[in-house]
Amino acid sequence: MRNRIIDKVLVVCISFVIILTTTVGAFDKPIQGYQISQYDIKVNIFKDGSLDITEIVDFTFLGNSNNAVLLIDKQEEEEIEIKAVYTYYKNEWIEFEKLAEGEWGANVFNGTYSEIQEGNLVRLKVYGVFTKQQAKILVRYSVKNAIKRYNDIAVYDRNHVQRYWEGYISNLAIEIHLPGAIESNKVKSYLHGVLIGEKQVTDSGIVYYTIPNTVPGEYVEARVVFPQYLVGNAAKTSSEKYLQTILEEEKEYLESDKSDLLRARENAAKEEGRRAAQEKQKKNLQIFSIIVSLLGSFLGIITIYRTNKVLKTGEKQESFTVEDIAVMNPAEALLLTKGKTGARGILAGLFRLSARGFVEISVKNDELSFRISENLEPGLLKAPDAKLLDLLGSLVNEDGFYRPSIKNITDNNSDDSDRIKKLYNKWNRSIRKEHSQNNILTDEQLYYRNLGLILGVILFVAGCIIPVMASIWSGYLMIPVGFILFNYALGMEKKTAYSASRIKALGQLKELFESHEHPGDKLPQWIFDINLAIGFAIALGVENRLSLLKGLESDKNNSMSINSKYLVDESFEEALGDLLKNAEAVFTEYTET
Amino acid sequence: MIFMFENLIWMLAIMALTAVSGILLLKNTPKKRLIILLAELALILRFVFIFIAYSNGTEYSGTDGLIYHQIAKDIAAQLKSGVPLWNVEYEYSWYTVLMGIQYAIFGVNRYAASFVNSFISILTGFLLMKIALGMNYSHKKSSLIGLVYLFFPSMIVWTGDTRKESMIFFLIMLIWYITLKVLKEKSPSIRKNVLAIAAVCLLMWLCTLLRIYMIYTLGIGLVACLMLYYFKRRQRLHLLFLFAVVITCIVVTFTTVRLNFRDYHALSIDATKSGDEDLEHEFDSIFSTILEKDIPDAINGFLTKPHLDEVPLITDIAANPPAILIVRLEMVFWYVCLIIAVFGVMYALINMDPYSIGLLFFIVAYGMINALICEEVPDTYYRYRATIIAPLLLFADYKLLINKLKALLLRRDSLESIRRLKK
Repeated sequence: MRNRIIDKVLVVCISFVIILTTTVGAFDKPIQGYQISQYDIKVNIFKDGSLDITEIVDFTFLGNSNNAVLLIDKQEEEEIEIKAVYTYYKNEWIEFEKLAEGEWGANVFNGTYSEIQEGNLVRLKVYGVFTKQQAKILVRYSVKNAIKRYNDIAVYDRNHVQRYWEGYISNLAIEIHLPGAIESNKVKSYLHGVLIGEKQVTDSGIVYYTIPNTVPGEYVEARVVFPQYLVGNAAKTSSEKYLQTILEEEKEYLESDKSDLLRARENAAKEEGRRAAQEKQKKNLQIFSIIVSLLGSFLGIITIYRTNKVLKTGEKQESFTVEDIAVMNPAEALLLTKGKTGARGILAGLFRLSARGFVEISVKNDELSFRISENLEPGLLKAPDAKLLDLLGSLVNEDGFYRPSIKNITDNNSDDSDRIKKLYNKWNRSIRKEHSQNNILTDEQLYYRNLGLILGVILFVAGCIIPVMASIWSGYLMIPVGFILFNYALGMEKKTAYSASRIKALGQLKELFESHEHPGDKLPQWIFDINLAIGFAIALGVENRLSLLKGLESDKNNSMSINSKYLVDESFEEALGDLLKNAEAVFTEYTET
Repeated sequence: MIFMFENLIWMLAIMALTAVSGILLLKNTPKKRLIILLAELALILRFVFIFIAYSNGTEYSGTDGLIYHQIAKDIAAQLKSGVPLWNVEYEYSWYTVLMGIQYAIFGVNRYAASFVNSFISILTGFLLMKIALGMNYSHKKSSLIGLVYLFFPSMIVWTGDTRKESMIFFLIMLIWYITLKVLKEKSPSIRKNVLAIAAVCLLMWLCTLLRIYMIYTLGIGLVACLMLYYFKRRQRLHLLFLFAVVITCIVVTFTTVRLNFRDYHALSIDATKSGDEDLEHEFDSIFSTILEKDIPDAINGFLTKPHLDEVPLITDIAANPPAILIVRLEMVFWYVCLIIAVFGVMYALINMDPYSIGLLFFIVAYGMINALICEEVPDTYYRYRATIIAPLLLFADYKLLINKLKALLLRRDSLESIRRLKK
């Protein structure tokens, strides 16, 4: 029942997080097209009716694209030739290379451009070292047959911003140089496609257009009418007079319904509002996420502090010395010091069982083997020891001996392997169970332990998700805090009086093993039982120091000599080392996850 | 007609190879036949994608895939004209040489090259299953991980074309598979282990030739894994492996990386400099790119882009509603995987499992390099992120952590304590 409730709570929590994540776009920059902060166009009209155009475009946002795109107007009979493309990088203009059609190479992003002819326009794509979605581009191109020459007038008529170009431009300046100086009253200029913008004609033959900004749906068409003799070398489009037609067209444009342009402005204003709201929402969410992250991390730290305090205040001093270690199971000693049991625990346990007469150990040709004693009375054993005997029973060969070598395990069929694994896990669980039954936390300690475990997981998970979603640094703080809190709570049992006193005693025992001098009065009595000594040496990872115990023989003149059973020397240590290595290789695989 | 027949033969041969590989690699796997059948289905899906992708002709479709195809044709011509393999001139990556050899032997056929790529991707899926099994996942979970990888929509796209991605993913999985074998082998034979370590070092180098920064991402992952293994087990083999990896990283940095740095198009290079004009400038350029970035934003971009509302703006699938829907579904699925993987990551860290932590270091290193250096375009993030899908799937199991937590919370002493508190 309780399991089901926890499952349901988890499902709800995970679903909530998933829904939150799938709306990750809410945290992102609002989507928008190209943004240009400055657009300068300079047009030189030549006597032959051709044009030389230079455009300098300052992109402040490339619309999440990896290239800058310019659309160049191309009318019937016109020929457009891209002369050069530059980008402004580190205070200098760098010329780009042209890519042939379909060409795409490794050097594309080193500074290249491609031009694609698309009906009435040329699409110019520029690739380069653009960071932060910003780019400054200079394009020079020529247009042949651009000026329409009639009997009375010549007409310059170009779309500098296309109607379907989905971008925003600020500060658009167009400068058109007529082929020669001429009185301003002989030149007429018109601006179409935008509701706001100024134009000015000077006596020096230059026409200026200044448009503060354009929005998607608007376009910029500049039309300049000037005396046809200025382009005397250009071919005539028609021998008719055209001024009247132009005036009628302009009158028609003036009187036409411009609701589409108004709508474009309205839409842009709405879009701007939406974007501002989104930006504000993003900022608010970021602030909220920062506060949550910092509070969460603070809460985690406070919980660690409180848990530590509770651990210290709830502690009752327990007397446990090196002399008392003999009552412990070496596997439990391993669990206390290393947090696991494994192969060492099994072998240490087997030596302990041998000390109690339940297992016989023989040493032949530097190889150790174990056998269950015949005069066995299993009823005397505690659960972990009984389970270890069961495990040993499953490991022995036909001759009744267990020799921990890789070969006899790998030779086992999968049924045997499964049986061994099950018995191993049963033994492992019984050790842990016995340990937790002895090592009981107080109610308050348990409360903080459980709180730490839950809060630790929540903080870690939140620390992985929130900073990514909200793009904030502070969120990452929850990862280490959550992880430390979880581990601290998990290891609380190691810090109880029960554990602390035993860990301290085991540490002292380890020091004794490692010491070259063995003052007789400091040694516990049980250490003269060599099997028990070996068992604890394995559990503490000092089995390679056993030969140091040889000196004890002369220290103690009692009946029990340290070398009474085995010759504890370097070769014994080596055999023990091999035994451990082999057993570890096998039992690591069996460890439950 | 003959061309279609040739393609049919290729497809049948690849399907047969897939079945054979499945039988050999998935020994002792329950429901082996079903898994192989599903792998064949994944292969067929790739074939369908290839035919759709090349419907306008193999000479016009794609970007990188198209370049490699063109170069492979040139290499095939060189080989046919009698140029020995070791004297062949090629550009960009040795993957084009592989394609060139195939074209020289079987004739120029981009479909066939794509079919081979698809097969390599299926092999990657099988390796992923083996790795998952080696990481103590159950047979069921391991198979599921492998199959999810095989049916991941973007995987079908990136490994169906004549791009090098399929080979990169395969090499990465192979490196981690061999590492797992070395670390968990029950009967250690020195010769076998030394050969395996040498193979890992060689594969790291080959991977670097395909994507220049792979030496660092793989190096970081392997070093972390091997160091932890050494601290846990204190075996000389792990130390030897560790040294071999570190030495490979150093040697490859001063040879391959240095030589190929300028030609690598995914890194922003300072266009004001040219030729070998000081490698320092290249590094300066990279560092300035990194410094200019909003790093949390870049990490967000790498892991989560394209966001659902950006999907229709991806040029390759714009105005294609089924493709947009598939990519959107994949993105939702990816987010779910990411969240589930967080639990798997925490479990790996708690257990201090060296192999999982090594994989984690690899994923983080790859993610950071790409987030910091790659251009901030959703399509690019989407493509480069594909490399970490397979390793990340190895963490996509929330149950391990939740079960551990449940076991800890529902222990008898915990429950008794709660009962006492209630009273």
